Order: sequence, then structure tokens, then C-alpha cells
Amino acid sequence: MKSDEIRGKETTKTDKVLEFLVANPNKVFSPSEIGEVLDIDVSIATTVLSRLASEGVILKEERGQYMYESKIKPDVAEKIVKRVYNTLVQSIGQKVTDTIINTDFMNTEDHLKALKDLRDVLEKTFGKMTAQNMIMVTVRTEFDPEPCEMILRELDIPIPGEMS
Amino acid sequence: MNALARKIGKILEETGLKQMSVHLLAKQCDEAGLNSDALTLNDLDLLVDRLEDILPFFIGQNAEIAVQRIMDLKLEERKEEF
Repeated sequence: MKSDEIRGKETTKTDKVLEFLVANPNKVFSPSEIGEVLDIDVSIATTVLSRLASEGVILKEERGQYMYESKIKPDVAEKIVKRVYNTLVQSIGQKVTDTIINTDFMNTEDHLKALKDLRDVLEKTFGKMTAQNMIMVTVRTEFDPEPCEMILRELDIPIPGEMS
Repeated sequence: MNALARKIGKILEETGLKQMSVHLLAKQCDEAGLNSDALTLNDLDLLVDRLEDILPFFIGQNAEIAVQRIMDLKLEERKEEF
């Protein structure tokens, strides 16, 4: 998900910081860590993080650490992974599905990571468009339009009607 | 797979299912109690019923086009018979 989609603005360093945080949701980072990883000045990282937090885009945790809180809760991610898996089993069979999707996906504690890994595996196997469609259909079947849209945005899946 | 099943497999392959088309067809034939080695035109309705449910998961609205192409095989095959 691009940071300008989240904030409705475009600022290069802010984009870099926010894209990094969105790619690492629910993990806290200090300005110095962000500065080091993204190769930007710590004072700039501090300013950007502080501004994003004041805008409510990210959360400020204790001791000057910051975090992007995923909009996809673990139970939601788990539900999507299981649903995609089960539909694949019904479509192409258990054996073939298990050659595509490692069963670790189903047994992990980090359901959000599992969902993102699943998306990547499906993209490799079926191609990007088909993989995105599989997740989109599943999400739309399971959730109301509003949470559905947030989930798709975070998974970087184009929302029909917004596709260019 | 017989010639008819291979034609259906090719239609599915072209939808973007690629190499998965063969597995999908085999599984759906199996579930419908059809033999993909001896598929006939009379089996198409049963198979298409299943594909109409399954294909949108993979290819969205393009499923309708794929299903239509499979149904068109009936006409093509019957023309060939005459």
C-alpha cells in the first residue's frame, strides 16, 4: 500500500518511512532504527514519525517508539487464510493444494504474516491477477464492504472501480 | 484425458489458471462422478454446473466467458459430427 493512499499526501521521506512501517506492521521502531534502516537523518526520522503520529496514521508507543497498527486483526487474517486454503482444496484437491501451500501457513501464530506469505505464494503459482482475485473474492465473501476495502488496501490488492 | 477434456483444459488454461487447469478439471470431474478419460458432450452440463461455482474464485467475471466457451464446445462438436 502506498503511503499517499493512507495519508492522501505525497512526501518522499514520509513515504519511505510509512511504507517501511506498513510493511512491518505491529512492530515498534525508534527514530534511530528507522534512520539507520532507511538511511535518513535521525532528526528527520523523528520529525516524520512525530507528524505521522499526530495525524493518527501511526501510533506512538512508550519511550519514543512508533508503530503502524495493522488494520487486519489476527483472527481476520486467520479466517482469510483458512478460507482460501479450503476453497483451493475444493477446487484442485488436497494433494495439489498442499504442494502449493505449506501447512505451516495454517499453524503459525503470526496470521498476518501468513496471509501476506499466502498472497505471495499464490502470485507465484497463479500469477498476480488470479492471486489477487482469489483473495479479493474470499475477503468479499467474508466481510462487509468497509472492512473489506481496508483489508484489500493493506494487502496491496486493487479495489474494483479504483483500478486504473 | 480424452480429446474433449483436453479442449476444456485448454480453455481453463487460457483463463490464467495455467498449469493448475489440469488439476482443477481432474478434481471437478472427480467430484461430479465423471471420467475425464471418457468425457462426453452429455457430461458438460454437470461439469459446467461445478465450474460456474468454482471459477469465479480464480478469475472473477471472466468465469462467465470461460463457461460459455466450454458450452460452445457442444455446438462445435455436434457440427463436426454432421
